[in-house]
Amino acid sequence: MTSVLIDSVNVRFGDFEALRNISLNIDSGTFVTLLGPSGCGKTTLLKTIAGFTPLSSGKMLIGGKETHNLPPEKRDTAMCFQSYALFPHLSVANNLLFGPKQKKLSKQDQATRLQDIASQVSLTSQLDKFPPELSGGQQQRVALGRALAIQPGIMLFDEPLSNLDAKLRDSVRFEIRQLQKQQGFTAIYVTHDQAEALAMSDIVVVMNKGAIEQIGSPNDIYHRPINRFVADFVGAANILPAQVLEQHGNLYRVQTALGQLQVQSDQAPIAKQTYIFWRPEDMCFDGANASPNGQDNIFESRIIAKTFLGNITECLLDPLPHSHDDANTTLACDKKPSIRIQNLGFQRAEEGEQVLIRVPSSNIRFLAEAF
Amino acid sequence: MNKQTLLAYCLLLPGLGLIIVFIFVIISMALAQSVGYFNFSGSSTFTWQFWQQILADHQLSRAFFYSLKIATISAILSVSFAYPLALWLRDPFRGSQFVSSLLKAPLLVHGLVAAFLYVNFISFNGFLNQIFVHLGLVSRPIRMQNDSYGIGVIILQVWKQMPFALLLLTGAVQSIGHDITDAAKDLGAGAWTRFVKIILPLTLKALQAALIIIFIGAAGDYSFQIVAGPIDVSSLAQLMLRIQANDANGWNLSATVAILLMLTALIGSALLALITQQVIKWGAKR
Repeated sequence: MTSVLIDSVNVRFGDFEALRNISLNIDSGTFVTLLGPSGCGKTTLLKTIAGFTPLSSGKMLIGGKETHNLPPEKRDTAMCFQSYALFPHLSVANNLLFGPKQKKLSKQDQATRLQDIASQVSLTSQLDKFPPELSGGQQQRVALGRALAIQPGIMLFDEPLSNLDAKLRDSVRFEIRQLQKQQGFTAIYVTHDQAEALAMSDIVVVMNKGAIEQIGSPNDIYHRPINRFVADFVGAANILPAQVLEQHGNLYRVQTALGQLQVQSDQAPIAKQTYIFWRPEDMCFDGANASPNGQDNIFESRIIAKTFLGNITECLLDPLPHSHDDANTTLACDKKPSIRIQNLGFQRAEEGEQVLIRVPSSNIRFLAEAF
Repeated sequence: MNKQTLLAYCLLLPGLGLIIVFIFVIISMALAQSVGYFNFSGSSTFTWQFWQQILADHQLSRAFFYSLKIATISAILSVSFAYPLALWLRDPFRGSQFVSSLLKAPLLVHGLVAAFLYVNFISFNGFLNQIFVHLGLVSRPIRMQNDSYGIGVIILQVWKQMPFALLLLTGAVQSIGHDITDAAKDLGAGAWTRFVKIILPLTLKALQAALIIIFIGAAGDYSFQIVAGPIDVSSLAQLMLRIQANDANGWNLSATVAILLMLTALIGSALLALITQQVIKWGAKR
């Protein structure tokens, strides 16, 4: 098992800064996901760890060893490429054995390794086939098996499931996680799919514009994002600028473009003018059933659009003016936002209908970002 | 046959028809002449006489082995020199377009001109000898022109044909995704292993095409041979033309040499391509 320490790493391509001051400590045996939009630098960071992209500055230690000038073939890493990068002229067996042959394993060890890996990735009956004769899922397994065959301390995955259909993606995702747990290797996984990141990882690293925005467990990243980017990128979010008006214990009254809202938070806002957010599933249509403690926020809204997604129904709401608010105290800087709401099952209310919605104050959180 | 199909055939006919007719006419004419038909100087009847006469001529065996040597060495050297250049030019860099164009410049120079310039360069009083003497490497000019090993012809063949191999191999090398070579690197393969196990097998078709085309061209060479080749041995093409001009049965005898030349080019290039394929496959699996 191998750890990775990345300290103040910068990577530049000419004038373009692909990675800016990246510092990350990955413990042995953890499953870390680099999550971010296209062009955020996650693949560059992965390729830097693999040794394909040189550092412009900073340092990197793999298994406690400095990696400066260490070529990819000398590192304790193996990579699963987005394109699979299978050798099309070699059979599945020879693809799987490519690494062990480079490591000069004996013929007997090679045969044993081939059997083990082929059974682990369920390719025993496909060993004589060539990559173009395999389905996408089988090719993905060959890529995985080929990387596993050298028994690396660190497995690097560059969006390995992006070419698979949704159903297959779910099953391969599960298999990768199972293999990682069984074999205990450190996994660094790149994806732009937040659901994949949340489902697979011990730690999620959210990246944007070449820098790390937040590092945390999937639960932290989803429920306690530190800024608007993370809140919005990881799942859907309703984000509003808010001015803190008063505080009673852990209950805050804030002024927003929707009017005055109550926020129950153990974490104090970082400034008087900050952002609040809540998830679409943290609000519901039963506005008439407000809690008796008076800490729920109730809105009257019109349904602009409604989408039935099977297990949930998502609606886009246009909040109507809040009758209790003083119009002068509404934040003038922000136009009235649309609100997303997700409720389990089918929602009977139709588009254009006015509904009462409820957001418990405990479901609204402050972002650690001021405006 | 509908109108569209008919139109497609009509469009193909000028090119395809010309090729098929000419190949058929030329090959069948040469075959017929080699066994006594279309005899311009005697009776046109079937005979093995011309084959017996030409196969007994020791000049033919010398010309055959000489042409085989020149073609094989030229083809192998051309692709061997072209590979590193193709790999170097795989990724664009500042000035790579210029370098690439410069390397392909020999394609624009006619073979006879190239041979003349080469002979001029290495002649007894040529530039190269003058430099050698000036630098004190030799006390007096040395004879390099028309060397008896055919080195001059090989140099010219490689100079002229290597850009062609480069053209084919650059395209093939560029079509290999970086992920493939990165994957090999990641799995522990060094530069030589990556070349032998990944790049060579994946560019095999282009390599074979280059070898075949260069081999055929060099086996049938006349212009380089006549200007820069050895005086004491002929190439097959040179022998074919000399026999046609000097012998009473010249057309029939040279038709026999022409058939042998075509067979040499065909079988030789196919063998070269086959051997290359087997060697590369063996290397990739090791």
